[in-house]
Amino acid sequence: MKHRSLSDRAFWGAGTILVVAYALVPIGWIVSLSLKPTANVADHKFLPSGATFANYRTIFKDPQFPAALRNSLGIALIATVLAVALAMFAAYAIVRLDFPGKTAVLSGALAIAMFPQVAIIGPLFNMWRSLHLFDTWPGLIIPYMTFTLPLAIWTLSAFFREIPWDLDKAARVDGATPFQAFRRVIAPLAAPGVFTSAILVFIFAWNDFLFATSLTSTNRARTVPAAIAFFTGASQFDFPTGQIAAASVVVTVPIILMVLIFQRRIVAGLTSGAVKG
Amino acid sequence: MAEIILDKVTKRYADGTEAVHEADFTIGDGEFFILVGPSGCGKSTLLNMIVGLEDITEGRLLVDGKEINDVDPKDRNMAMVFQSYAIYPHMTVRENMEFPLRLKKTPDAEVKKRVDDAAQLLELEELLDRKPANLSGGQRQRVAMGRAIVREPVAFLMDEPLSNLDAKLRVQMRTAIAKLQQDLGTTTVYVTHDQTEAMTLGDRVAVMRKGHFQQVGTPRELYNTPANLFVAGFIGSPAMNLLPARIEGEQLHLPMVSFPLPDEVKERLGARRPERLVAGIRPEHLEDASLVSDEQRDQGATFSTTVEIIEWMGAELYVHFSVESEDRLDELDEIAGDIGRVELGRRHGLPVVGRLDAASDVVEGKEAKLWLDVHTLHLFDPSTGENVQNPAESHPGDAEREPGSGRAAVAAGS
Repeated sequence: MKHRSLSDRAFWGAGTILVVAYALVPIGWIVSLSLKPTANVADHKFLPSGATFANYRTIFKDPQFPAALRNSLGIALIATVLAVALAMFAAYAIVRLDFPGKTAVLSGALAIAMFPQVAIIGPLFNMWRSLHLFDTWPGLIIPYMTFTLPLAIWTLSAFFREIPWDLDKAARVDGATPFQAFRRVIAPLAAPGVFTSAILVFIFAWNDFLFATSLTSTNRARTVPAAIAFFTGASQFDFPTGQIAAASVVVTVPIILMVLIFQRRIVAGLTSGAVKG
Repeated sequence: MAEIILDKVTKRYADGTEAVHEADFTIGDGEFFILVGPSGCGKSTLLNMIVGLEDITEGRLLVDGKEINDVDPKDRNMAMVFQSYAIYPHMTVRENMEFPLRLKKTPDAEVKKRVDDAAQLLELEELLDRKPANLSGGQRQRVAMGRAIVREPVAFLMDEPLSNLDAKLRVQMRTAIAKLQQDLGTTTVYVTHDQTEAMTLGDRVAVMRKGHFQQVGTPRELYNTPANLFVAGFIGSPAMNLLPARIEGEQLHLPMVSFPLPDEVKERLGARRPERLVAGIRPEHLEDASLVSDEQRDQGATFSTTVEIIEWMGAELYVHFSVESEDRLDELDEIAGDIGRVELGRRHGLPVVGRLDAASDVVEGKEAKLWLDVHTLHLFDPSTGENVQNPAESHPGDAEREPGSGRAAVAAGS
């Protein structure tokens, strides 16, 4: 490896610190806020004096937050599984098969991804009410799945395209049905792509505020981002800054865990060794 | 073990282009059969049709008398070795070799036995727990072979299995494959663009060009009696020298020398005396005139030329020289392009290679007396490309169907 000059290292070191600070300071600020007692929230200090977990205790005592957390987890996970499973089949078909309207499917998917979501909220609200989907889990899972499918299809087709077609053929000649070839050879090799799109879908569903506020009304299906907006202070003169911060920290944890777990699976070069080179 | 019969098997795409035109021959049980031709000639397409990865547009494909046109590839029990090896990167070597057996739900003990046997045969025992990423090209190639062997298939289909290996390994694996095929006695169809591989490996060889079959025969037949200009130029290394020739009366004129038509040539020509011809001379049929006995010299033709380059190979000597000719043969240019021959020094005349005895004392840049064995001369009709000396194949329409006669003569080797 080449030995880097001092100025080179200083440049990259400073750059790294800057980027990391830019990303982590707001999170640190929120953590700090969540630990401050209500009286100290506006003290303009980065490190809380007299840290307390009172805010955390408060949000978990309130029945709406645990319910929202449950809704968030369930809805986001189901939407992720459905979207990724559907996207896998769609992407595989798009990459491997030559059928009429293939480009139409791809550009249609792209159009959906670019469609302004806020434009369909009104009609969706009315439709969901007459279909009895309003304020239910499926009522949120369906739009999440729909809006993340295009992204998942595009990501996965990029990954499938990287897998040599000879592997499908080899599996077929080795005695596999088309589905067995897909399940036992292609899907395991597309795992990094699957995890990448799973993370993207999960984050979209987890973070969404628009659909969550518009299509829910009670604890039955209200997710955390929407629930936080309904937080109230201990008294009506108290602004619930500390609780909101605590809730934000709590909802950030699953995302961080999710990325950390899957990050280890997103290893480049999983397909190396299949073919020459 | 199986006999594979191709009955006018044709592949035609939606736009009307024919990738394979009427493949019509029988691959005998246990035979090592080679499909050879320049890239894009349709040989891989034909292989894919045999294994079932591509549909057959027309014709019938029979294995042991049963038509399998519409049988799914998974039910054909044929094993294929791909040019890219196509071994599964997420499985260990053992899992790779087990894969086809697991799909067939073979009992565990049997799977283990077969994989161990194949690993021993291919010297893969120490690699069984490794992942393909940690293997060299040659090792991956052997894993691909192993995966084919464990299945005990009716036929091996190999699609340029050696072309990704370096030159030395390629020669080693070539021998290994030949021996393996002999030991297992499994019918093998092998696709290659390398005529050396075709000649050394095959019991029989089919030469293809642009989807059409040029000739099907043993390597010896292809070499000694090429059906047409293409086969003549494609088979053999260094390639056959192709020169314009004219017949005037009983004299045959080559650019560097003229001589009376030899009796056997006259006999085969019959009454025909085509004016323009292409003469094919194998490099080994040229010799240093001083090394030829007197009576032999009288049988052939002697001429002088300036030697341009000498390549000393140890046991023999390649001399390169060029001859001037007024006759332009555009047909030759086309064939040269097809088989990827680089005709250097084109502007200075037609290049010729001679393969002389190493004892020859010819010197680069100097005049040399060379002798031509006129009895081994091949003559071709430049307009059709057919070898005018093979009466059986002189009919243009027959040339493509001629391979079909191979059906009667199921080759040895089983």
